[in-house]
Amino acid sequence: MSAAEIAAKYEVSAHHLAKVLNRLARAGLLHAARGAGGGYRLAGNAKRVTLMDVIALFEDIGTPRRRGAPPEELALDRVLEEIDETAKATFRSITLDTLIKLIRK
Amino acid sequence: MHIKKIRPARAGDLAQVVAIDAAITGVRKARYWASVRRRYQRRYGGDFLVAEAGGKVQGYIVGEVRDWEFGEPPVGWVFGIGVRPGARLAGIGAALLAALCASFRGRGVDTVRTLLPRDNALVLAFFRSQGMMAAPVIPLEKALD
Repeated sequence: MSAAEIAAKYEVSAHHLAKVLNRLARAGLLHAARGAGGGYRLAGNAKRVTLMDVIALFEDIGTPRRRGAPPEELALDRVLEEIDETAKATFRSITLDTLIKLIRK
Repeated sequence: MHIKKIRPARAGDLAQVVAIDAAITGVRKARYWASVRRRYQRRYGGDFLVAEAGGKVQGYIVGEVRDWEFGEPPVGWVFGIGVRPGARLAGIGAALLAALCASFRGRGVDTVRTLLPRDNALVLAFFRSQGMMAAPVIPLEKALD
């Protein structure tokens, strides 16, 4: 599928999409074919690539622990860390293949 | 790999089940698996199934219907599943889970549930691939002083 087709289908900026696709290709998740009839296709194993693999390319997924902050802030940090770790476990457990199944369901 | 049969575990399968579990977890638990075979028998409401292919046990699954545990209506629980590392991506885990779910359905249960460490991404991804989503329960714990 070409970048222009994807941009049109999802009504997103072609310029921004090109950057996203380029990053996915550099990470080895997409195979890019140039020229007429070219486009992008998945390069990895859809049963092994998870949503976290994709998110980690674009987001800082670390959970920094503050030191020396007031106790109330540290307590809130612990709560937010729990939420964060649960979210990460969810993203790590959903592969592209599973997501496709969910879409088709 | 073609699965020949999914059947209840026999005493003679235990050494292979122990070996599969040890290959996955790094810990050999022979006495534990012997007790699992005693406890999870169909006549007691449990299931301990193995998948056989190529003359060997390629995987196992253990589960049981629990009534009103944690204040919840009866659901089928999967307590453990394992597939030989070299036999993965051949549908063995899916076939074992399907057989266990069929057993649960036969007991009038319409929900299957399991519990896993959140860093066990491989097995979590397997259960997700089988259509399982987060259950409406939250496990809690604390370190005992």
